Amino acid sequence: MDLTRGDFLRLGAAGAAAAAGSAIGASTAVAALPPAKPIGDDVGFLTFGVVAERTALTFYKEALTSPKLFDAADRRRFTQARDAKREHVQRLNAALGADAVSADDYQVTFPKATFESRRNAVGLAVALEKLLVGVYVYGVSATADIGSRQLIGRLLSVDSQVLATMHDMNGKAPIGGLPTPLDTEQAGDLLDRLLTIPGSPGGG
Amino acid sequence: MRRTTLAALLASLVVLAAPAAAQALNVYAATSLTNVFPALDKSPTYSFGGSNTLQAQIERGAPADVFASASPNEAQALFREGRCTRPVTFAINRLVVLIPNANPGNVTSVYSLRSGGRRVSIGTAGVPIGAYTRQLLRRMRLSRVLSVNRVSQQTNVGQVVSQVALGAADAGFVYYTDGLAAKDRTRMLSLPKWAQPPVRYQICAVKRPGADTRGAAAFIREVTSNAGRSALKHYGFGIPPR
Repeated sequence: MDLTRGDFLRLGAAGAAAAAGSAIGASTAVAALPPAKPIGDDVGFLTFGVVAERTALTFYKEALTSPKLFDAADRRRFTQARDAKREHVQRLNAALGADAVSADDYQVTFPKATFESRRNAVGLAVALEKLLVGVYVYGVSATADIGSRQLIGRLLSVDSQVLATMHDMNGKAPIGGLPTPLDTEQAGDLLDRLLTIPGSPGGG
Repeated sequence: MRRTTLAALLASLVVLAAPAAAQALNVYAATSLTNVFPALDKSPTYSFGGSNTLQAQIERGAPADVFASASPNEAQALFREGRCTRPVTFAINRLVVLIPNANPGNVTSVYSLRSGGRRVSIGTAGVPIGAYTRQLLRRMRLSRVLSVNRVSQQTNVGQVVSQVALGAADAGFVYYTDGLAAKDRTRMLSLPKWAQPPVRYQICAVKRPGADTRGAAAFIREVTSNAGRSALKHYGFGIPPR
């Protein structure tokens, strides 16, 4: 997928807004967005966002209950990430209105080894944030409704910071340039591995 | 004379009462419950159809005693109108793409339908399977599937299954349980979990003059009992937590 100059400018504006804050989730300090009124398939980016953000929220919550793996600095970063995720879920569901995704619709299960080591745990956090950032990069250019697009841009700016933080925790160099855009088709395959639908027939 | 009149009166009461006592419970239920309900209890008279159609019939005074819908919308609407008791969720389902065994349309996943030119069968927008299908396609950013293919719209999920099984459609959007029931002639393709709308079946006792409320309550107890849950599971349905 190609990003136009306009997309870059929008991303730049979102990034600048994010940089104005000093912590993850500082986007709340930026000017209010126009209300999101998703048109047609715009719903896809928002729905994927809710499910993936909630999956990440579940991850950070569980990470915070594993005190042996993480020191105080790690826990502070996870707390900030958790709070950002919680806010993102609320914003996305508010935008989805009648199509909002309930917490009861999915159950998140992480691979057994996830919380066996700090490296595994942070590795999964990086993978989840990459999914979100990739889908939001695509969403910024492919969303029809301007309010939805700006919401996605705002979430992208925050999740880019979360991703950079997790990369840093993982001892990796910060990512240079724009992350690769991801369609929900590719990203959904990875996310689906962590999801079950409670009571769903046939192991679905 | 008086004794004769009394006897005649009693006899007429018995005659009047007899058909009512013998009359079977009328259960109006979503098409996707066609196999499981009679297997659970043979005694009621069943009317299967699209949940929205059955809802409309009940609103016009159809003699239903129990209503079981494939989405909460229809049962909840009747409840709000004071036409049925508070609905309870008794089963869960999910959506799949159904293709004929021969797969003449070469459909390997839902994404195959993006390229267009195939025959696709779906429910109408008003029937739960049709509403769920449209919601799922929007979530997957695949609504164009409905404009680039030759789409036929059916008033209940049974008709979608028939079209696919008979080879009149290259693909159809149905419930998982329908796919199981038609597995001799069709195959199911999974759809992503993250995009699945929550498919919840609800049941309630219809409130109308002359309704068999005791029979309806007993039937609902049967459906939600352990035996009922086992039967639903046997036919592939998911079960809500108690």
